[in-house]
Amino acid sequence: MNSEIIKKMVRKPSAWVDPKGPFAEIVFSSRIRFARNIQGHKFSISSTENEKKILFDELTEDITAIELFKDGYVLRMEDLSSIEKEFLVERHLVSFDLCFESDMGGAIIDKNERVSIMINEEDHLRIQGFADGLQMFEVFDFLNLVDDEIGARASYSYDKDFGYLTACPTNIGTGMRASALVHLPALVITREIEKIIRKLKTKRVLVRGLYGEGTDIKGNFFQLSSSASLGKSEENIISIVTEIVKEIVEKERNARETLMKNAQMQIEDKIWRAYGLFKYARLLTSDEAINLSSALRLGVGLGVIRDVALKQLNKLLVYIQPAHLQLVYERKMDNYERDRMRARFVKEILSLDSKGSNDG
Amino acid sequence: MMCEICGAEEGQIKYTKVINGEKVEFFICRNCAKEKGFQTPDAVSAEGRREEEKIQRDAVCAMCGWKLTDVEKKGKFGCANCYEVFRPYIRNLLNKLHGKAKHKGKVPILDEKKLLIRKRIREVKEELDVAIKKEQYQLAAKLRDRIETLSLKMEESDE
Ligand SMILES: [Zn+2]
Ligand SMILES: [Zn+2]
Repeated sequence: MNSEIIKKMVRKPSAWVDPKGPFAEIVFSSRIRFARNIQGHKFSISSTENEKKILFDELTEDITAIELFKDGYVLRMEDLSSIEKEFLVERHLVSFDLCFESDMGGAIIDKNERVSIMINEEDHLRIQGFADGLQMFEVFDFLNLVDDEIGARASYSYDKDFGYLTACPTNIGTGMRASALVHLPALVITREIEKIIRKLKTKRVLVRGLYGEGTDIKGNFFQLSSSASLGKSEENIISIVTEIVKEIVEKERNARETLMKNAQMQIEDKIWRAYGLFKYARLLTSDEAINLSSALRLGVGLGVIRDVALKQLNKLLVYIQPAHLQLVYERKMDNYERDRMRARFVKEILSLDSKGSNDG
Repeated sequence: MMCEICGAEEGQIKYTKVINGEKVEFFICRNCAKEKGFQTPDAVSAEGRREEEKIQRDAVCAMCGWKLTDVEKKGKFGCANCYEVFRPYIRNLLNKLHGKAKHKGKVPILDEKKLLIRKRIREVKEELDVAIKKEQYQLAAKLRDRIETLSLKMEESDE
Protein backbone atom coordinates (compact mmCIF):
# COMPACT_ATOMS: atom_id res chain seq x y z
CA MET A 1 0.00 0.00 0.00
CA ASN A 2 2.70 2.47 1.04
CA SER A 3 4.94 1.72 -1.94
CA GLU A 4 1.97 2.18 -4.27
CA ILE A 5 1.55 5.67 -2.83
CA ILE A 6 5.23 6.44 -3.27
CA LYS A 7 5.11 5.23 -6.89
CA LYS A 8 2.21 7.57 -7.53
CA MET A 9 4.13 10.46 -5.97
CA VAL A 10 7.25 9.71 -8.04
CA ARG A 11 5.24 10.08 -11.24
CA LYS A 12 3.84 13.46 -10.25
CA PRO A 13 5.92 16.40 -8.95
CA SER A 14 4.52 18.46 -6.06
CA ALA A 15 2.05 21.10 -7.24
CA TRP A 16 4.35 23.96 -6.17
CA VAL A 17 7.07 22.87 -8.60
CA ASP A 18 5.04 24.75 -11.22
CA PRO A 19 6.10 28.36 -10.66
CA LYS A 20 3.14 30.73 -10.87
CA GLY A 21 3.65 32.75 -7.70
CA PRO A 22 5.19 36.22 -7.50
CA PHE A 23 8.98 36.56 -7.90
CA ALA A 24 9.20 32.88 -8.94
CA GLU A 25 12.38 33.53 -10.95
CA ILE A 26 14.17 34.27 -7.66
CA VAL A 27 11.98 32.75 -4.94
CA PHE A 28 11.81 28.98 -5.41
CA SER A 29 9.32 28.27 -2.64
CA SER A 30 7.58 29.57 0.48
CA ARG A 31 7.09 27.34 3.47
CA ILE A 32 5.33 27.63 6.82
CA ARG A 33 5.17 25.16 9.66
CA PHE A 34 3.33 24.95 12.95
CA ALA A 35 4.60 22.83 15.85
CA ARG A 36 1.75 21.38 17.91
CA ASN A 37 1.36 18.93 20.78
CA ILE A 38 -1.69 17.14 22.09
CA GLN A 39 -2.94 17.43 25.68
CA GLY A 40 -2.59 14.38 27.89
CA HIS A 41 0.31 12.88 25.90
CA LYS A 42 3.99 13.12 26.77
CA PHE A 43 6.20 14.72 24.13
CA SER A 44 7.81 12.27 21.70
CA ILE A 45 11.19 12.55 23.42
CA SER A 46 9.86 10.95 26.62
CA SER A 47 7.25 8.59 25.09
CA THR A 48 7.57 4.86 24.54
CA GLU A 49 7.11 3.40 21.06
CA ASN A 50 3.76 2.03 22.17
CA GLU A 51 2.54 5.41 23.40
CA LYS A 52 3.59 6.89 20.08
CA LYS A 53 1.68 4.22 18.21
CA ILE A 54 -1.51 4.95 20.16
CA LEU A 55 -1.17 8.68 19.48
CA PHE A 56 -0.41 8.04 15.81
CA ASP A 57 -3.64 6.08 15.38
CA GLU A 58 -5.70 8.69 17.22
CA LEU A 59 -4.29 11.56 15.18
CA THR A 60 -4.60 9.72 11.89
CA GLU A 61 -8.28 9.17 12.57
CA ASP A 62 -8.78 12.88 13.39
CA ILE A 63 -6.80 14.19 10.44
CA THR A 64 -8.10 11.89 7.73
CA ALA A 65 -11.63 13.04 8.67
CA ILE A 66 -10.73 16.48 7.32
CA GLU A 67 -11.93 17.11 3.76
CA LEU A 68 -8.46 18.00 2.38
CA PHE A 69 -6.98 14.66 3.44
CA LYS A 70 -9.86 12.37 2.47
CA ASP A 71 -8.09 11.49 -0.78
CA GLY A 72 -4.61 12.17 0.60
CA TYR A 73 -1.76 9.87 1.58
CA VAL A 74 -1.12 8.30 4.98
CA LEU A 75 2.44 7.04 5.34
CA ARG A 76 3.91 5.09 8.25
CA MET A 77 7.68 5.10 8.55
CA GLU A 78 7.77 1.46 9.64
CA ASP A 79 6.26 0.46 6.28
CA LEU A 80 8.74 2.39 4.12
CA SER A 81 12.13 1.35 2.78
CA SER A 82 15.03 3.69 3.47
CA ILE A 83 15.07 4.83 -0.14
CA GLU A 84 11.37 5.71 0.05
CA LYS A 85 12.03 7.68 3.23
CA GLU A 86 14.87 9.56 1.56
CA PHE A 87 12.53 10.34 -1.33
CA LEU A 88 10.15 12.10 1.08
CA VAL A 89 13.04 14.00 2.67
CA GLU A 90 14.24 15.11 -0.77
CA ARG A 91 10.78 16.56 -1.41
CA HIS A 92 10.96 18.44 1.90
CA LEU A 93 7.73 16.67 2.87
CA VAL A 94 9.26 15.12 5.98
CA SER A 95 12.39 15.66 8.05
CA PHE A 96 15.35 13.35 8.32
CA ASP A 97 14.69 12.91 12.05
CA LEU A 98 11.12 11.77 11.43
CA CYS A 99 12.40 9.01 9.16
CA PHE A 100 15.24 7.64 11.16
CA GLU A 101 14.58 8.40 14.86
CA SER A 102 11.57 6.17 15.43
CA ASP A 103 9.44 3.61 13.59
CA MET A 104 6.27 5.16 14.93
CA GLY A 105 6.62 8.37 12.95
CA GLY A 106 4.53 9.07 9.91
CA ALA A 107 3.06 11.70 7.65
CA ILE A 108 -0.29 12.65 6.20
CA ILE A 109 -0.03 14.52 2.91
CA ASP A 110 -2.70 15.98 0.65
CA LYS A 111 -2.61 14.75 -2.91
CA ASN A 112 -1.22 18.00 -4.34
CA GLU A 113 1.53 17.97 -1.69
CA ARG A 114 0.70 21.47 -0.50
CA VAL A 115 0.26 20.32 3.08
CA SER A 116 2.30 17.68 4.86
CA ILE A 117 1.66 16.80 8.49
CA MET A 118 4.42 14.96 10.29
CA ILE A 119 3.28 12.87 13.25
CA ASN A 120 5.56 11.97 16.18
CA GLU A 121 8.43 14.18 15.11
CA GLU A 122 10.05 16.24 17.88
CA ASP A 123 6.54 17.58 18.42
CA HIS A 124 3.41 15.45 18.06
CA LEU A 125 2.50 17.41 14.95
CA ARG A 126 4.51 19.45 12.52
CA ILE A 127 1.97 20.94 10.12
CA GLN A 128 3.71 22.28 7.02
CA GLY A 129 2.45 24.14 3.97
CA PHE A 130 4.23 24.90 0.69
CA ALA A 131 3.77 27.20 -2.28
CA ASP A 132 5.78 28.35 -5.29
CA GLY A 133 7.20 31.87 -5.37
CA LEU A 134 6.75 34.34 -2.54
CA GLN A 135 3.32 33.45 -1.12
CA MET A 136 3.70 33.37 2.67
CA PHE A 137 0.27 34.78 3.44
CA GLU A 138 -1.40 32.44 0.97
CA VAL A 139 0.24 29.47 2.64
CA PHE A 140 -0.67 30.81 6.07
CA ASP A 141 -4.32 31.11 5.04
CA PHE A 142 -4.77 27.51 4.02
CA LEU A 143 -2.53 26.13 6.75
CA ASN A 144 -4.38 28.11 9.42
CA LEU A 145 -7.60 26.41 8.38
CA VAL A 146 -6.01 22.97 8.58
CA ASP A 147 -4.62 23.87 12.02
CA ASP A 148 -8.09 24.94 13.23
CA GLU A 149 -9.65 21.75 11.91
CA ILE A 150 -7.15 19.57 13.70
CA GLY A 151 -7.29 21.68 16.87
CA ALA A 152 -11.05 21.27 17.10
CA ARG A 153 -10.69 17.48 16.97
CA ALA A 154 -7.54 16.95 19.06
CA SER A 155 -6.90 19.38 21.92
CA TYR A 156 -3.61 21.25 21.64
CA SER A 157 -1.32 21.90 24.61
CA TYR A 158 -1.46 25.64 25.13
CA ASP A 159 -0.60 28.16 27.81
CA LYS A 160 -1.88 31.73 28.01
CA ASP A 161 1.63 33.18 28.48
CA PHE A 162 3.75 30.66 26.62
CA GLY A 163 1.40 29.99 23.71
CA TYR A 164 1.65 26.61 22.02
CA LEU A 165 3.79 24.31 24.16
CA THR A 166 6.59 22.62 22.26
CA ALA A 167 9.33 20.14 23.10
CA CYS A 168 12.01 22.72 22.37
CA PRO A 169 11.67 26.12 24.08
CA THR A 170 12.86 27.89 20.91
CA ASN A 171 9.56 27.04 19.19
CA ILE A 172 7.24 28.15 21.96
CA GLY A 173 4.64 30.84 21.34
CA THR A 174 3.20 30.61 17.86
CA GLY A 175 5.10 27.37 17.19
CA MET A 176 5.48 28.82 13.72
CA ARG A 177 8.38 29.12 11.35
CA ALA A 178 8.11 30.92 8.02
CA SER A 179 10.79 30.35 5.41
CA ALA A 180 11.59 31.03 1.78
CA LEU A 181 14.07 29.34 -0.53
CA VAL A 182 15.72 32.01 -2.68
CA HIS A 183 18.17 31.83 -5.57
CA LEU A 184 20.78 34.63 -5.46
CA PRO A 185 23.50 34.00 -8.06
CA ALA A 186 24.16 37.66 -8.89
CA LEU A 187 24.56 38.64 -5.24
CA VAL A 188 27.04 35.78 -4.87
CA ILE A 189 29.04 36.90 -7.90
CA THR A 190 29.15 40.52 -6.74
CA ARG A 191 29.94 39.28 -3.20
CA GLU A 192 27.24 41.48 -1.72
CA ILE A 193 25.75 38.33 -0.23
CA GLU A 194 28.19 38.25 2.70
CA LYS A 195 27.12 41.67 3.88
CA ILE A 196 23.46 40.74 3.47
CA ILE A 197 23.81 37.55 5.51
CA ARG A 198 25.55 39.43 8.30
CA LYS A 199 22.70 41.93 8.36
CA LEU A 200 20.07 39.18 8.33
CA LYS A 201 21.63 37.62 11.41
CA THR A 202 21.16 40.83 13.36
CA LYS A 203 17.50 40.71 12.33
CA ARG A 204 17.29 37.15 13.71
CA VAL A 205 16.67 35.60 10.32
CA LEU A 206 18.25 32.15 9.94
CA VAL A 207 20.21 31.52 6.75
CA ARG A 208 20.78 27.94 5.65
CA GLY A 209 21.52 25.87 2.56
CA LEU A 210 19.30 24.19 0.00
CA TYR A 211 18.55 21.08 2.01
CA GLY A 212 17.86 22.79 5.32
CA GLU A 213 19.43 22.55 8.73
CA GLY A 214 23.16 21.95 8.78
CA THR A 215 23.64 21.89 5.01
CA ASP A 216 26.02 24.07 3.02
CA ILE A 217 25.13 26.59 0.41
CA LYS A 218 24.80 24.88 -2.97
CA GLY A 219 23.82 26.29 -6.32
CA ASN A 220 23.44 29.79 -4.83
CA PHE A 221 20.28 28.71 -3.01
CA PHE A 222 19.63 30.17 0.41
CA GLN A 223 16.92 29.26 2.85
CA LEU A 224 15.78 32.21 4.95
CA SER A 225 13.67 31.51 8.05
CA SER A 226 12.14 33.38 10.92
CA SER A 227 13.55 32.43 14.31
CA ALA A 228 11.41 34.35 16.79
CA SER A 229 8.19 32.62 17.74
CA LEU A 230 7.23 34.29 21.04
CA GLY A 231 5.88 37.81 21.47
CA LYS A 232 4.83 38.38 17.87
CA SER A 233 1.66 37.30 16.10
CA GLU A 234 1.77 34.95 13.13
CA GLU A 235 0.77 37.71 10.71
CA ASN A 236 3.46 39.97 12.14
CA ILE A 237 6.19 37.34 11.74
CA ILE A 238 5.06 36.55 8.20
CA SER A 239 4.99 40.16 7.11
CA ILE A 240 8.49 40.71 8.51
CA VAL A 241 9.86 37.71 6.57
CA THR A 242 7.96 38.71 3.44
CA GLU A 243 9.38 42.23 3.56
CA ILE A 244 12.91 40.92 4.05
CA VAL A 245 12.56 38.53 1.11
CA LYS A 246 11.17 41.32 -1.08
CA GLU A 247 14.14 43.52 -0.20
CA ILE A 248 16.55 40.74 -1.13
CA VAL A 249 14.73 40.06 -4.41
CA GLU A 250 15.12 43.75 -5.23
CA LYS A 251 18.85 43.60 -4.44
CA GLU A 252 19.31 40.46 -6.55
CA ARG A 253 17.52 42.14 -9.47
CA ASN A 254 19.75 45.20 -9.18
CA ALA A 255 22.87 43.04 -9.02
CA ARG A 256 21.74 41.21 -12.17
CA GLU A 257 21.27 44.50 -13.95
CA THR A 258 24.74 45.69 -12.88
CA LEU A 259 26.30 42.44 -14.07
CA MET A 260 24.63 42.67 -17.45
CA LYS A 261 25.78 46.27 -17.79
CA ASN A 262 29.41 45.65 -16.81
CA ALA A 263 30.11 42.07 -17.83
CA GLN A 264 27.42 40.94 -20.22
CA MET A 265 29.72 38.81 -22.40
CA GLN A 266 31.28 37.00 -19.43
CA ILE A 267 27.90 36.29 -17.86
CA GLU A 268 26.37 35.07 -21.11
CA ASP A 269 29.43 32.92 -21.71
CA LYS A 270 29.05 31.35 -18.27
CA ILE A 271 25.35 30.64 -18.87
CA TRP A 272 25.78 29.14 -22.36
CA ARG A 273 28.70 26.98 -21.23
CA ALA A 274 26.54 25.62 -18.42
CA TYR A 275 23.75 24.94 -20.89
CA GLY A 276 26.15 23.10 -23.20
CA LEU A 277 27.55 20.97 -20.39
CA PHE A 278 24.11 20.20 -19.10
CA LYS A 279 22.90 19.10 -22.53
CA TYR A 280 25.87 17.01 -23.57
CA ALA A 281 27.52 15.67 -20.39
CA ARG A 282 27.35 11.91 -19.98
CA LEU A 283 28.08 11.86 -16.24
CA LEU A 284 26.81 14.43 -13.75
CA THR A 285 27.43 14.46 -10.03
CA SER A 286 24.74 15.93 -7.86
CA ASP A 287 26.79 19.02 -6.94
CA GLU A 288 27.71 19.66 -10.55
CA ALA A 289 24.09 19.37 -11.66
CA ILE A 290 22.93 21.78 -8.96
CA ASN A 291 25.57 24.33 -9.96
CA LEU A 292 24.81 24.04 -13.67
CA SER A 293 21.09 24.36 -13.04
CA SER A 294 21.85 27.51 -11.05
CA ALA A 295 23.61 29.11 -14.04
CA LEU A 296 20.78 28.01 -16.32
CA ARG A 297 18.20 29.44 -13.94
CA LEU A 298 20.02 32.77 -14.05
CA GLY A 299 20.03 32.53 -17.85
CA VAL A 300 16.27 31.98 -17.93
CA GLY A 301 15.71 34.84 -15.46
CA LEU A 302 17.80 37.20 -17.60
CA GLY A 303 16.06 36.15 -20.79
CA VAL A 304 19.36 34.89 -22.21
CA ILE A 305 17.97 31.37 -22.55
CA ARG A 306 14.49 31.23 -23.97
CA ASP A 307 13.83 27.57 -24.75
CA VAL A 308 13.91 26.37 -21.14
CA ALA A 309 11.17 27.11 -18.61
CA LEU A 310 11.49 27.57 -14.86
CA LYS A 311 9.12 24.68 -14.37
CA GLN A 312 11.61 22.35 -16.04
CA LEU A 313 14.43 23.63 -13.85
CA ASN A 314 12.37 23.29 -10.70
CA LYS A 315 11.50 19.74 -11.59
CA LEU A 316 15.15 19.05 -12.34
CA LEU A 317 16.29 20.32 -8.98
CA VAL A 318 13.97 17.89 -7.23
CA TYR A 319 14.48 14.85 -9.45
CA ILE A 320 18.28 14.85 -9.72
CA GLN A 321 18.53 13.82 -6.06
CA PRO A 322 19.62 10.21 -5.39
CA ALA A 323 16.37 8.70 -4.11
CA HIS A 324 14.30 10.37 -6.83
CA LEU A 325 16.58 9.04 -9.55
CA GLN A 326 16.53 5.51 -8.19
CA LEU A 327 12.76 5.49 -7.86
CA VAL A 328 12.23 6.99 -11.33
CA TYR A 329 14.41 4.32 -12.93
CA GLU A 330 13.12 1.69 -10.49
CA ARG A 331 16.43 0.24 -9.41
CA LYS A 332 19.20 0.61 -6.86
CA MET A 333 22.24 2.47 -8.22
CA ASP A 334 25.77 3.09 -7.06
CA ASN A 335 27.40 6.53 -7.40
CA TYR A 336 28.66 5.96 -10.92
CA GLU A 337 25.32 4.64 -12.12
CA ARG A 338 23.52 7.57 -10.53
CA ASP A 339 25.79 10.11 -12.25
CA ARG A 340 25.07 8.38 -15.57
CA MET A 341 21.30 8.31 -15.09
CA ARG A 342 21.31 11.86 -13.75
CA ALA A 343 22.89 13.10 -16.98
CA ARG A 344 20.31 11.12 -18.93
CA PHE A 345 17.44 12.49 -16.89
CA VAL A 346 18.66 16.08 -17.35
CA LYS A 347 18.80 15.58 -21.12
CA GLU A 348 15.28 14.17 -21.14
CA ILE A 349 13.88 17.12 -19.22
CA LEU A 350 15.72 19.72 -21.32
CA SER A 351 14.61 18.18 -24.60
CA LEU A 352 10.96 18.75 -23.72
CA ASP A 353 9.38 21.89 -25.04
CA SER A 354 9.64 24.88 -22.75
CA LYS A 355 5.97 24.80 -21.81
CA GLY A 356 7.14 21.85 -19.76
CA SER A 357 4.14 19.96 -21.07
CA ASN A 358 5.24 16.71 -19.51
CA ASP A 359 3.38 15.96 -16.37
CA GLY A 360 4.61 12.43 -16.34
CA MET B 1 -3.62 12.68 38.89
CA MET B 2 -5.13 14.81 41.66
CA CYS B 3 -3.02 16.18 44.52
CA GLU B 4 -2.48 13.51 47.16
CA ILE B 5 -2.73 15.99 49.99
CA CYS B 6 -5.74 18.15 49.21
CA GLY B 7 -7.27 16.23 46.35
CA ALA B 8 -8.65 19.46 44.96
CA GLU B 9 -5.97 20.44 42.45
CA GLU B 10 -3.95 18.69 39.79
CA GLY B 11 -0.88 17.02 41.39
CA GLN B 12 1.75 18.36 39.04
CA ILE B 13 4.80 17.97 41.23
CA LYS B 14 6.30 14.66 42.25
CA TYR B 15 7.71 14.99 45.72
CA THR B 16 9.92 12.29 47.20
CA LYS B 17 10.34 11.93 50.94
CA VAL B 18 12.33 9.37 52.89
CA ILE B 19 10.12 7.89 55.63
CA ASN B 20 11.71 5.23 57.89
CA GLY B 21 14.46 4.67 55.37
CA GLU B 22 11.98 4.14 52.56
CA LYS B 23 11.43 6.43 49.61
CA VAL B 24 7.80 7.47 49.33
CA GLU B 25 6.52 9.40 46.34
CA PHE B 26 3.71 11.94 46.49
CA PHE B 27 2.06 13.86 43.71
CA ILE B 28 1.13 17.21 45.10
CA CYS B 29 -0.08 20.56 43.86
CA ARG B 30 1.66 23.91 44.03
CA ASN B 31 -0.47 25.13 46.97
CA CYS B 32 0.26 22.11 49.10
CA ALA B 33 3.94 22.35 48.25
CA LYS B 34 3.82 25.84 49.74
CA GLU B 35 2.04 24.69 52.90
CA LYS B 36 4.54 21.90 53.34
CA GLY B 37 7.10 24.61 53.93
CA PHE B 38 8.16 25.23 50.39
CA GLN B 39 7.96 28.75 49.09
CA THR B 40 5.87 29.42 46.03
CA PRO B 41 7.70 30.36 42.87
CA ASP B 42 6.07 33.79 43.12
CA ALA B 43 8.15 34.69 46.16
CA VAL B 44 10.61 37.44 45.31
CA SER B 45 12.98 37.73 48.28
CA ALA B 46 16.51 36.40 47.90
CA GLU B 47 15.70 33.69 50.40
CA GLY B 48 12.49 32.92 48.54
CA ARG B 49 14.41 32.62 45.34
CA ARG B 50 16.85 30.16 46.91
CA GLU B 51 13.92 28.13 48.22
CA GLU B 52 12.28 28.29 44.82
CA GLU B 53 15.51 27.10 43.26
CA LYS B 54 15.51 24.19 45.71
CA ILE B 55 11.91 23.23 44.87
CA GLN B 56 12.81 23.27 41.20
CA ARG B 57 15.89 21.13 41.81
CA ASP B 58 13.95 18.52 43.79
CA ALA B 59 10.82 18.56 41.68
CA VAL B 60 10.01 15.71 39.35
CA CYS B 61 7.38 16.13 36.65
CA ALA B 62 4.50 13.84 37.55
CA MET B 63 3.62 13.19 33.93
CA CYS B 64 6.94 12.38 32.25
CA GLY B 65 9.23 11.78 35.23
CA TRP B 66 11.81 14.36 34.19
CA LYS B 67 13.84 16.44 36.60
CA LEU B 68 15.36 19.82 35.95
CA THR B 69 18.68 18.12 35.25
CA ASP B 70 17.03 16.21 32.35
CA VAL B 71 15.66 19.45 30.94
CA GLU B 72 19.07 21.11 31.21
CA LYS B 73 20.91 18.18 29.71
CA LYS B 74 18.62 17.77 26.69
CA GLY B 75 17.61 21.38 26.16
CA LYS B 76 14.05 20.12 25.70
CA PHE B 77 11.01 19.38 27.84
CA GLY B 78 9.50 15.95 28.41
CA CYS B 79 5.87 16.98 28.27
CA ALA B 80 3.50 19.94 28.48
CA ASN B 81 3.21 19.51 32.27
CA CYS B 82 6.94 20.27 32.60
CA TYR B 83 6.04 23.85 31.69
CA GLU B 84 3.98 23.98 34.92
CA VAL B 85 6.45 22.20 37.17
CA PHE B 86 9.50 24.16 36.04
CA ARG B 87 7.69 27.40 35.34
CA PRO B 88 10.11 29.82 37.05
CA TYR B 89 13.08 28.16 35.34
CA ILE B 90 11.30 28.38 32.00
CA ARG B 91 10.41 32.04 32.49
CA ASN B 92 14.08 32.74 33.00
CA LEU B 93 15.12 30.72 29.98
CA LEU B 94 12.52 32.35 27.75
CA ASN B 95 13.58 35.79 28.91
CA LYS B 96 17.03 34.96 27.60
CA LEU B 97 15.75 33.43 24.34
CA HIS B 98 12.90 35.72 23.44
CA GLY B 99 13.11 38.72 25.78
CA LYS B 100 10.37 39.44 28.30
CA ALA B 101 7.70 38.43 25.87
CA LYS B 102 4.30 36.82 26.24
CA HIS B 103 2.46 34.92 23.56
CA LYS B 104 0.69 37.07 21.02
CA GLY B 105 -1.11 35.34 18.24
CA LYS B 106 -3.32 32.39 17.63
CA VAL B 107 -5.42 30.84 20.35
CA PRO B 108 -6.47 27.27 19.66
CA ILE B 109 -10.08 26.52 18.96
CA LEU B 110 -11.31 23.87 21.33
CA ASP B 111 -14.66 22.99 19.83
CA GLU B 112 -16.47 22.59 16.56
CA LYS B 113 -18.87 25.44 17.26
CA LYS B 114 -16.04 27.96 17.38
CA LEU B 115 -14.48 26.40 14.32
CA LEU B 116 -17.67 27.13 12.39
CA ILE B 117 -17.73 30.75 13.57
CA ARG B 118 -14.09 31.26 12.59
CA LYS B 119 -14.77 29.74 9.17
CA ARG B 120 -17.76 32.04 8.73
CA ILE B 121 -15.63 35.06 9.70
CA ARG B 122 -13.13 34.12 7.01
CA GLU B 123 -15.85 33.82 4.38
CA VAL B 124 -17.32 37.19 5.27
CA LYS B 125 -13.83 38.76 5.20
CA GLU B 126 -13.39 37.45 1.66
CA GLU B 127 -16.78 38.90 0.68
CA LEU B 128 -15.65 42.17 2.26
CA ASP B 129 -12.48 42.25 0.15
CA VAL B 130 -14.54 41.75 -3.00
CA ALA B 131 -17.04 44.44 -1.99
CA ILE B 132 -14.24 46.95 -1.37
CA LYS B 133 -12.62 46.15 -4.70
CA LYS B 134 -15.95 46.72 -6.45
CA GLU B 135 -16.43 49.92 -4.43
CA GLN B 136 -19.71 48.63 -2.95
CA TYR B 137 -19.31 50.59 0.25
CA GLN B 138 -22.79 50.05 1.66
CA LEU B 139 -22.40 46.32 1.37
CA ALA B 140 -18.91 46.61 2.86
CA ALA B 141 -20.27 48.42 5.91
CA LYS B 142 -22.87 45.70 6.40
CA LEU B 143 -20.23 43.00 6.11
CA ARG B 144 -18.04 44.78 8.66
CA ASP B 145 -20.94 44.74 11.15
CA ARG B 146 -21.44 41.09 10.44
CA ILE B 147 -17.77 40.35 11.23
CA GLU B 148 -18.08 42.27 14.48
CA THR B 149 -21.16 40.29 15.54
CA LEU B 150 -19.42 37.04 14.70
CA SER B 151 -16.31 38.06 16.65
CA LEU B 152 -18.47 38.84 19.69
CA LYS B 153 -20.11 35.43 19.41
CA MET B 154 -16.65 33.91 19.32
CA GLU B 155 -15.69 35.64 22.57
CA GLU B 156 -18.98 34.69 24.25
CA SER B 157 -18.32 31.02 23.68
CA ASP B 158 -15.02 31.47 25.54
CA GLU B 159 -16.90 31.50 28.83
ZN1 LIG C 1 -2.90 20.01 46.95
ZN1 LIG D 1 7.01 16.53 32.05
